[in-house]
Amino acid sequence: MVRMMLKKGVVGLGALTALVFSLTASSVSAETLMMPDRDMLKGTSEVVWGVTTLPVGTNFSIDFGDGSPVTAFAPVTDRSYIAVNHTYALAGTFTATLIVGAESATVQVKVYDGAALSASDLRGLNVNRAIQNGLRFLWTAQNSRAAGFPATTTTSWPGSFGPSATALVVASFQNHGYRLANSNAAPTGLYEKYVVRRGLNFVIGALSSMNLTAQAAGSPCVGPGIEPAPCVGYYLSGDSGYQTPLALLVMAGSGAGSRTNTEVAGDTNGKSYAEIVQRLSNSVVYGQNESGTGRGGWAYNLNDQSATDGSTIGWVLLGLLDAEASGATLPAFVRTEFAMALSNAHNTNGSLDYQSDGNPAGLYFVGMEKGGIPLQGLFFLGEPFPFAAGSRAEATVTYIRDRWTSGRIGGDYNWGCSANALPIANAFQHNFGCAYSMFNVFKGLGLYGMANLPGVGDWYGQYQDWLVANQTSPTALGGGNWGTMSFSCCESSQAMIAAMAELVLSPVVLIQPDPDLFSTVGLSPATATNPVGTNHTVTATAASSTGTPVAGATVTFKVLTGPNAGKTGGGTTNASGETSFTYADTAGPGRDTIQAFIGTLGSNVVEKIWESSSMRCDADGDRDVDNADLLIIRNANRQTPTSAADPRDGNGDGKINAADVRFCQKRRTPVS
Amino acid sequence: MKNMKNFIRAARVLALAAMVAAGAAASGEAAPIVSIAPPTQTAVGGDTVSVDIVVSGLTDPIGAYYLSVLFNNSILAGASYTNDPSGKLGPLGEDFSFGFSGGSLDLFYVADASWEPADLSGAQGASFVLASISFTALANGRSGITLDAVDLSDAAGDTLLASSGRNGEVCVGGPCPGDVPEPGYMVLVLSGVASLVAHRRVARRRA
Repeated sequence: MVRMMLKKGVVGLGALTALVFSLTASSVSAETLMMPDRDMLKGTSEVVWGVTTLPVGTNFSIDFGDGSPVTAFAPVTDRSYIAVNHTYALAGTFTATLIVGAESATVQVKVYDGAALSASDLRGLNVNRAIQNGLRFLWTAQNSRAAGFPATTTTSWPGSFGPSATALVVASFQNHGYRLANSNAAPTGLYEKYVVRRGLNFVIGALSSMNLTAQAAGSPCVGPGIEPAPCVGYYLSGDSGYQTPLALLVMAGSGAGSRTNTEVAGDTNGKSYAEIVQRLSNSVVYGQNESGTGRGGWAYNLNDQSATDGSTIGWVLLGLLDAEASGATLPAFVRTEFAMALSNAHNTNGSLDYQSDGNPAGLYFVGMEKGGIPLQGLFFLGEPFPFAAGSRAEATVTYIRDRWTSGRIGGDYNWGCSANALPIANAFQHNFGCAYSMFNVFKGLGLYGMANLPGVGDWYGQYQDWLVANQTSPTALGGGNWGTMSFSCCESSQAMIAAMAELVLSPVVLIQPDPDLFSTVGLSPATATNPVGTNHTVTATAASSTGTPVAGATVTFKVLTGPNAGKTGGGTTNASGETSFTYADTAGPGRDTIQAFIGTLGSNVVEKIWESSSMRCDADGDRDVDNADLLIIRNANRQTPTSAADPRDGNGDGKINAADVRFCQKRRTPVS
Repeated sequence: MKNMKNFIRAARVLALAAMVAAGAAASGEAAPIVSIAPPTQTAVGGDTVSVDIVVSGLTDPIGAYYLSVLFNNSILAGASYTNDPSGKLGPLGEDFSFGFSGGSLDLFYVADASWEPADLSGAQGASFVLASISFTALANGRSGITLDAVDLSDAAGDTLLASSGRNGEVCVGGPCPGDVPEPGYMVLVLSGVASLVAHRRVARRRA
């Protein structure tokens, strides 16, 4: 339970923080903003930073809020990154203030004493720190950050395919909860306003339109308001089969379907994000191959009719799953067609062909980098879990397990991931240190909610630990990236690598559920009453704003208050968007309050009333129900209860009579 | 005396059968009825007088009951009682009765804790004898045997609405003052007598 609690980083400590504080950094002025609220480690130099729209040269100072001296006023040299290191000497919650000229902004910092934490809580704290330090790195890594701040309406990150790099980076912020409102409300948080808003604008601005015609399997023109074939679809040019699903993924993950594009000119101007998602999705559907061993799959370019490309379909599957989770419509034939492609590419040893050969025994450039993709495909097709013995699905789990520490064995293709020098050369090649591999394994195992990998154990915890341990200079002003990692065989963008690491560290496999829904009705039942000593189950439901289930969200449960306070659990939402937590009352009567968390996103708080049998039938108040109680009730036969809580009125009908003796006889405490 | 006892026994059987039939006819009613059987009987001093307390019209099985029975203790003396004589509430029913006290009898009985509704329902049917009571006739006169209080519980421990049916009456050393037989009862008595007479005639002819 504890291990599950810590799986997604913002666990335990983060969740607790979420309860105690409002995590939205406040600003006195819209012109000066601070980093988001975060956790820090006592006695460790950490970065405190903010931004201002006031001119370069304006004096700034930072009050860390812990009684230490305020920094001396100094001129702002980079108004998009006013950053200093500071060591908090005490644990506690502090309000740090950035003062720039007449402007100021504040942030809540929760500082923990590592020596006072349990090993699991310390691990959770360090995951939280790695997440925040990595996001800060991505902030610093924007193309033309200083020059473009604050006026430009778009921003991007380095990478061989700019829109794809930007899509991945923005997706990583979104999956950690930094999202736009599902309306045209202007964002106010630093990341929401300057990363997510502007990054989405960049992706939207890179979209082109094309005519989507009906395919042999059916029409790709589906969804509300979409015209019949031929219809207009949006796509990203240049390896469109690879890039378009990434645009789809980040747009679907925005959770802002009701938002309208007003900042980017062109075909998408005036379109809702939901429509943009639908038209992107329709293009991806249109791009499904129609013949040969690649039928039903996707390759580098949409609708190119060549063999299915094993590495491309991973992006496609996630894009379509995200789109569907956000409420977009997929035609049914996508799945029936894709089943053919997967069958042709998925081998009996569990591997996935680089390009489908239609031969389950033929291993065509296979390796760990694509190890998780078959699981994504099977999830897309609705393959149930646990997998059937002897199935290819089961073989894939074994395939991943066998390569967990070695990365590449036997005749696996030498993909060349981990091009950068790893601390242990080649030992982890193609798994640890290869962002593409880790990402796909995370998605595949995560969608199926597999907490443990046979023979490996807590696979996700190992990913977390590796990413925490291998972050480069996380507390340096320019650090927080993962310099020893590679993205893939053929890409080395540090921004793309950091984005992948952040996605792996995020609490969701697909998209964040709608925060309003989760915070109001995400946990049920709202209230329940049961006898002490029995079990209670609560169910968390993750759904988009349209009510569509969101699978793959890691949920942590915590009993906040009451006799069972401190009990925790966790799970991953299934295809119905649900996961449950059952715990036994071991602490007697009272009222528990329970809350679920997806990262820092908290659900509604529900209650459980543990009603002691003694409350109803324990007439002598000795906390059990025995013959003595039955005799007392019998001796009070036909008397009027003194109150509604009179224990002698066992059945609570306002009378003390033979029925109460029978009622309480059936609830006699078992003799141990 | 022996003939009198036979007569009383036959009358009780007939009366019980009539009450069961009445209960069955009334099975559509929600509330079960608790009655004394037989409703009337006669005895002479020193006789043992027995009555049953019968519940009928059951649609839900009974999980417990409380009965308070009143009688004239200058005419009858409480001798013994048996709760659930037929085991319709399970073999391990629990007896919380206070028993006889002067002219009253307190019966309080709870079904076997391990018996679930299906067990009770299967055993009880629509009607059964809750308790049997024996008195000793002390002196001449009439004594009612009256259900002063009736509480029933269902199998789960919820109160079952019940109504008191016919009470009982014993005439010791009769005829008793004010003894006006009821027409319906006379029909039963006469049919019982006719049955006995016919039985004897047949027996004599065979002899």
